Amino acid sequence: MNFHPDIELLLKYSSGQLAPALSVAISLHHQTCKQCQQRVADLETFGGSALETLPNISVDLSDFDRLLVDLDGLPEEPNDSEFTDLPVANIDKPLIKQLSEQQFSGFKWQRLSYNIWRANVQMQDPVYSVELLKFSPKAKIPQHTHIGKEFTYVLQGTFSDHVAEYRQGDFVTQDKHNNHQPKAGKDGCICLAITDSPIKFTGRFSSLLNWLNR
Amino acid sequence: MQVQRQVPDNLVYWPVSGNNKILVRMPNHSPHSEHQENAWETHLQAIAVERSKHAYKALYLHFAPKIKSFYLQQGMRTNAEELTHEVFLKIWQKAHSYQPSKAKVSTWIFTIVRNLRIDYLRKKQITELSDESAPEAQDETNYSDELHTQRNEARLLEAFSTLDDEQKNVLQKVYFEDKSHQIAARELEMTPGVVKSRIRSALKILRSHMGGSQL
Repeated sequence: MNFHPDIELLLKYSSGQLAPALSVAISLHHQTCKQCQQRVADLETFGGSALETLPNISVDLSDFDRLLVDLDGLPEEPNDSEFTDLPVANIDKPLIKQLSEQQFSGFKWQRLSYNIWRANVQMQDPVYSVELLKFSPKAKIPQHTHIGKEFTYVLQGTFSDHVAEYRQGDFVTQDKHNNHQPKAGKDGCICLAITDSPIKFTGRFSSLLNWLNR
Repeated sequence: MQVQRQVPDNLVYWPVSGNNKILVRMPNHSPHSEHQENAWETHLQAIAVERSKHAYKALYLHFAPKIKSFYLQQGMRTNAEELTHEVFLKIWQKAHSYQPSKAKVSTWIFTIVRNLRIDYLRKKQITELSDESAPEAQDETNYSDELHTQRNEARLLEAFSTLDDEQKNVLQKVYFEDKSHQIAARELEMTPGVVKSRIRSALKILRSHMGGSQL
């Protein structure tokens, strides 16, 4: 694993300030990347220290009594879903489970070309759109440019462009300067793509793809 | 006879600039903080093993005012109390899962505080965003995800210790207290431009300690 989220993304992720879609993508990387686990743990330590420095707002002791009352009848275990420590909303955790277990068949796949499929991931993110992209082995991904930013998490397989090869677990950030034409590896590739505006294809057949991509 | 004007030299006409800048105390190794840290670990253990309400109350008296402050600062005025309440219910339920080797008590509590905030805001955002397409209900199973993170305060934390106080303060305000550059600037008595440049320089230092490649 060679490609990680930038420190600013990790800061926002660790402090719980990231858009839901990006939190999901980073949490997938976070679960499998030892280095980023260390980084997030360090940032959380920073968060703990920050909490300690906050001014004290007086609390009513009757609030504590109310707490004691609520302890009776409280289940021994919190009603948490799995991945309880990840800085992601509980409501998004089933998606994280599905993706980290590589269960891709439950999505509604739509064929973009003879060797490219896509599936919308409904996340109700106010800013980002989320989709799964699947490429056959060696599929050339049409030349495209990013109007905004695109974040890609490699769920399975590999793809490469003129910069590097991206493998399972890599988290790749691309912006509008990258007009690139990536190519899937020998086993094909499944990616989670997060974009703040639609990808714009620039090569041949681009008008058709742009239309399909709407 | 000349009347000398009285100079009220015992009065101060300008506001004394209060020392209201809160410095971020990074984990240091003063005997006091270590002692305190051990004390909280013991408290959590007492809550987990003996279900000690005494230890629970001590933890509450120390952390609840700060947690409430955290939520209030993030604009959750009406819910600060309720969320603080929920944090402590979680602390009671999860005390046994606390592992001193992985995180300090304040870190562990911070993650609970943060996650309840994330859940609260996400629910609110979804209700505001749409009222027709409700997310599909999915089964939640109980499978505890083990992140094999070793407690190790080196690396990024080392990088944090090379930041100056201004840089730490700015990071804290903007990323952990969710304040705008404007508000952070006012609180730290800087211009927003300085806040931005302090963030940039701090991120640059942290980034240089990350290793690996980023795009």
